[in-house]
Amino acid sequence: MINPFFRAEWLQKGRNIQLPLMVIFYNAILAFVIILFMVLNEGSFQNGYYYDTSTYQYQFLIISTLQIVAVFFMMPYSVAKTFVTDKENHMLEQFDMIPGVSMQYVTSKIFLAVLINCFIFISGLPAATLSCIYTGIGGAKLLRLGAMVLMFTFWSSAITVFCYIIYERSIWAFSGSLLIHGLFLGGTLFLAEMIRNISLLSGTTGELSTTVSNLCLFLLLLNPLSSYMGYYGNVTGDIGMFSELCSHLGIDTSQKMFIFLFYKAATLMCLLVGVLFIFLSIWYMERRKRG
Amino acid sequence: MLEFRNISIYRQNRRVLDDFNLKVQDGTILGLLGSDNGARSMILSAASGSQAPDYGQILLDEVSIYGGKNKIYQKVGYMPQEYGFYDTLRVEEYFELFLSLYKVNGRYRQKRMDEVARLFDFESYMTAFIMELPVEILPFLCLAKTVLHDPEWIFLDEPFAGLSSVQRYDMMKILLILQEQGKSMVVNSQFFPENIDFFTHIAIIEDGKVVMKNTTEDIFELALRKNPVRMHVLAGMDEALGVLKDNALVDRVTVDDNDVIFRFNGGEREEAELLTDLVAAGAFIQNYMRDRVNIEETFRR
Repeated sequence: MINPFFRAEWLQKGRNIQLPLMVIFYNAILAFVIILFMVLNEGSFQNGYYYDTSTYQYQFLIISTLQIVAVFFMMPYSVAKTFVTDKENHMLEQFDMIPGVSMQYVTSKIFLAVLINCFIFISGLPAATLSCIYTGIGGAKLLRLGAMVLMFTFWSSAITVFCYIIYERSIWAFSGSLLIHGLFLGGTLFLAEMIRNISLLSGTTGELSTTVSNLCLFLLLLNPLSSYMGYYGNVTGDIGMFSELCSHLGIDTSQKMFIFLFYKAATLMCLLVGVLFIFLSIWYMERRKRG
Repeated sequence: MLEFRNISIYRQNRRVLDDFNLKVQDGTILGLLGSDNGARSMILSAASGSQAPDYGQILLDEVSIYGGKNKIYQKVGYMPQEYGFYDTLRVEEYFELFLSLYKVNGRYRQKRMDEVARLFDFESYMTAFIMELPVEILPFLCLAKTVLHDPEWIFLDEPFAGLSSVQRYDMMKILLILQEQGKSMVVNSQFFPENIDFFTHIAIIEDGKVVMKNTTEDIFELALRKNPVRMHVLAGMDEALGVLKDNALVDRVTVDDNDVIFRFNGGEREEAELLTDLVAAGAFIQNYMRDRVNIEETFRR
């Protein structure tokens, strides 16, 4: 049986002008990037330069990065809006008395966010497919990008939902959500860098110990952006920047399967973090009933 | 029967209910009155299952409301003090949301929606968006949502707040129909004149405790007795004071110019006898009346 909250949320979202506008703007940005590449190449060809096909390589990077970044930017706003409506209308008080509602409520918010992003990703497929054709990337890999977008949506919405459940005031919830996003996206890199520097300063050999490298690897696994970098490296074979970051942190990337395994492990970690936040949200909602 | 057994609730380091005990029999409409509005609201929230008590038990037909995975929540409907709606849903979709949450499915779901629509005269609004509804309909929509799953007990937190006297009358009419259908109610409300005939019982709540609980008639009689009598004497003041002094049921006599104010602790018959004695003694009385009954104020004193 369909989650009743999800049905109600979906009906409301579907009747709101916001969703079509999101789709239009999202596609406009993707189309703009594709057309820009075409115009630049055409321009350079007209001026007598050779047709630089290597620039096409970056099309997929830019388009996929745009789609990933859009998730991190849109998700806190998108989830926040549904919570603000609930809080303003005192809907939560009306649901609190029904046992088992917490789980349905939390999962409906997350499922809605995933579904909307799925819808947006599908709407952007023409532009993304064009970038794949120019870059020479297969359709299956594009679908893997879709899966990654949805996974990030799951991760991001779980964090946002958690913040909106624990904070009464929306401003704190929104700030908290951005802070946790920042901690995972930037904080893990900063912490890894700090651990590396402390280890180098306190050590005598000038090399990083295996423990420090493993700790840095674990922090990278927690970072969804490094998981995306792993995905990109695995899909295109271009792990230049990610490889530099890893070697900077003393992580050995020479093994053939490293990037593939890292990408898989980081994806799993992202899912686990999302699930953890969902459980925390449900637990807190139940606890709130007990004052 | 609904029973609050030694309930204590603390919120934000403040004691809201203190060793609270109350029994409400089936079929009654209990009005919660008193100055402690926080406590009155909390009693309903706790009974509805949304605010668990820190100590004590709330039992509905001897089954604890917070006793784990029982279906007791289906017997309870709660209309909160502050409520809202999903404006972009249609009325029928809003009803379906709550019916699904209460696991009312199949043909019975549609039947209940039809019954409630008929009771509230919502048939023409069922396919309308909630944001299109007239504002005065909204409290009734919330009440309709509360009784959708056919609960045995209905807890109403300030249902008449902000309503005009015509709307209050309409809402009471619906609630009385629901009572005739066998539903019991606990209502947190300010005191309106219409409530006298509406509540079957009244409980006065002060400082998180029940100060007084009885049938509405008894409570009013008691309140009336506790209220002072004001008598305007045109002549024969000394004679009047003499009669009052001799009557054992009279106390706290004060004189304010030509007015005599006193408390009379007897019944209707004794009061009639007192008046006869006053007139017989030569007191020339122009007016004899009691102050207006404010039962919340009376019992707080």
